[in-house]
Amino acid sequence: MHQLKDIQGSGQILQLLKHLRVQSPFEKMWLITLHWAQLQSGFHVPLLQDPTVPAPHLERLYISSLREFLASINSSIITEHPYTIRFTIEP
Amino acid sequence: MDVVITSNLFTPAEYKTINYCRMFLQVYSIADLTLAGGKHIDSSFLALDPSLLSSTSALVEPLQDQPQTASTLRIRQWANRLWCNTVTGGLHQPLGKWLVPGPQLRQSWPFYFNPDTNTLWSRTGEGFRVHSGIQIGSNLRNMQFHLQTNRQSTILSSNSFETTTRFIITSQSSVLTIIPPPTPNTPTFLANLSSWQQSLLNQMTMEHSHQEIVSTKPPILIAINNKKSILRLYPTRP
Repeated sequence: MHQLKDIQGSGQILQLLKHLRVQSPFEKMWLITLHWAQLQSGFHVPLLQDPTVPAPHLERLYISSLREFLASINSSIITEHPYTIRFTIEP
Repeated sequence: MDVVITSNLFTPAEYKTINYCRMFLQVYSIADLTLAGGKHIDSSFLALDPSLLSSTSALVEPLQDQPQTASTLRIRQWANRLWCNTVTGGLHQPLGKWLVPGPQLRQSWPFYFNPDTNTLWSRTGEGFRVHSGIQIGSNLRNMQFHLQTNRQSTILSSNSFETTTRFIITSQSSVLTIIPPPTPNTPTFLANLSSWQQSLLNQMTMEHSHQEIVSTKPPILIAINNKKSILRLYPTRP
């Protein structure tokens, strides 16, 4: 029996990949959404590339649930030009 | 935020409040909160009230309202636990060297120092004013510069590095005006976007051009209550 959580998660991944691989306005809207989510999260690593770091402060629930599902199946999504905050000083 | 989250010192509600404070200050790392020396936190950031001498973000940022006063007290407690002594402002562990030159930093500073020419560069609305030195010695904390200058530049020299208010500008006849960098909704702001932001902006299809939206519309009064007026900028067809 399929779990609804798995169906939702796999559907979210398919939808995201479908739009990111097609040159369309939806791709741009997705990239804008991901960039703004990255800015809002304040994380240095791309949100979908390392979903294991919890983000309780993230306000975009769709991306939050997508990250939770990716973390549960030990997966990540690597986009071509992820927007990240680079380090500017030696730690 | 990575460090804050992985510290496991806070509740989910506190994580959200910390992130609100971070977004209001428009910072991403400790390096953005410290003075140029990397040893002390800018005290005005801890008070959630950045001064004109504080660094400001050069990125396109989400705009977050100032958190409530209670957050000001709590952010000091959190900062004390994580990074610094909030009385002296000293970091528990001083930061290392900058990895990129001053002009390429994420933060924009009101003053830069060029060690090759011993000049101080102060930000203006159009670029930078270049102040020559009066007393240049080995002690960087006691350098003095002429306030009045005719030299201006629109581009910051690549080898300049950011400075704090320890550099003193002396004058008896005029007052130095510090102009913050351009803010959103101004044409200058759009002109100073980084390459990837320009690229993304140019790909967007909009009914009105971005320049048209930010340059021609006056503020429109949309709501009034008994205590204060609320002004919002809404684009309309000219």
